[in-house]
Amino acid sequence: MNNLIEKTLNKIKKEHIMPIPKWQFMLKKSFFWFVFGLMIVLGSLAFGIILLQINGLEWDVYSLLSGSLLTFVMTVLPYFWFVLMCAFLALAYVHFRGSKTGYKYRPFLIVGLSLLISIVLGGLLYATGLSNRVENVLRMLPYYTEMQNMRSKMWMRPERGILAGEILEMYERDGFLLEDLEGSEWDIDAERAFIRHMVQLRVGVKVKIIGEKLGDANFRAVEIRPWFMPHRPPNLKLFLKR
Amino acid sequence: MIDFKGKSDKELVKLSLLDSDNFLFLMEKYKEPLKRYIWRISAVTKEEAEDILQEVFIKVYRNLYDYDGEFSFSSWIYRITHNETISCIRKMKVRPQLISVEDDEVGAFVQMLPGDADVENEVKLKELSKIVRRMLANLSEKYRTVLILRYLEDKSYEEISDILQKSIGTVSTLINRAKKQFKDMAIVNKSLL
Repeated sequence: MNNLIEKTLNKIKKEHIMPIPKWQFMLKKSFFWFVFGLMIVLGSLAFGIILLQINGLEWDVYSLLSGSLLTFVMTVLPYFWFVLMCAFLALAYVHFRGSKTGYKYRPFLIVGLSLLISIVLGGLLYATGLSNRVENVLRMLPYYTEMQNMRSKMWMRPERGILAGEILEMYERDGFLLEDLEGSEWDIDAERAFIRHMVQLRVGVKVKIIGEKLGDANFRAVEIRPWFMPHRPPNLKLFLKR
Repeated sequence: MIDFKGKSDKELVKLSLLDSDNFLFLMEKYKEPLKRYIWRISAVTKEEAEDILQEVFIKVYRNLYDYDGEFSFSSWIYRITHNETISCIRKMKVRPQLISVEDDEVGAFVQMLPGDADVENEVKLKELSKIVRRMLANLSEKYRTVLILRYLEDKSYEEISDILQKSIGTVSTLINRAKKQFKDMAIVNKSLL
């Protein structure tokens, strides 16, 4: 027997070298697919929230909130979630590329397929209301709420007929005292206001108001909207019946 | 008595998993080509090449269950050998000065050289071999490796792709660039040819 081969076989026997058990490789493989799947699911979730936020945008009042449709879109696009979705897709790609056979597939194919799965899954998460539930949980985080409030600051234009803030006191007659996002107080006349459903007028609640500035601290409300527009998922049953 | 010579690599892997002594047949089959490959890409001494190869065989034995037949066993064992060799020469921090290529193996490289190289002339061939070996050693590691795999190990693009874990497109680009760099180097050293 050849010297090198003999030496190697002796070493295997002497040092009791054994093949690594199959289950360890299977575990590694399962972990790989778990991490890859997780990246795709998180990317899908980000896409679901992008849909949710785009749907929740108040397109009907964009002219009041911003100078033009383009400025409005550029201001309110959910960049954070776009970045997060891209980051998860990039991680999924890097992870897959590092796998045993990842080099065989074209980057375009890996990214394209991951994106397609994220879009389909994200759409489903949005349609089933899961994205909304996740965002409701996220709203409990102070940093996230702060980030969302930055978008709400577009509502601080009383001279253009829009105002937002927190109710400090309810009046006996139809009206309330509101502290706007910059800390100023306003007497709100809500006698003839259309109050959207989901809006509960009570102390501590944040609202958005469309109306008319009457004076330095007086505002007449024409419409009162909730702080977050409610989730309106597409009617899946109708869609499936077609 | 089992006829090991007629067995496929996959079958030999299964048999090695049953009894470590059977691993002998896989080692016997791949010992010479792998040792030659280690020499070619690293130009280490015979003893160093044997040490690297022993580490490769131990690694292969330990990871036998990881071989799942997604590509050929030959590509798999070459991949392990390649990674182990590169890791060793990086640790040794040495750059090969002369690549181990036999005189009769330089034909493909001589054809890349400008002018009419006379490969029939034994004296001239010996000189050319030495120049080719030096030029290969002067190529960057990635270019040297693809040329060695393609023209000395006679591997297909797909096999090179599996060994180096790069897409076939990347392998093709690397080979073209390596050939161009080799030719450019030959033009610079034309006086020697």
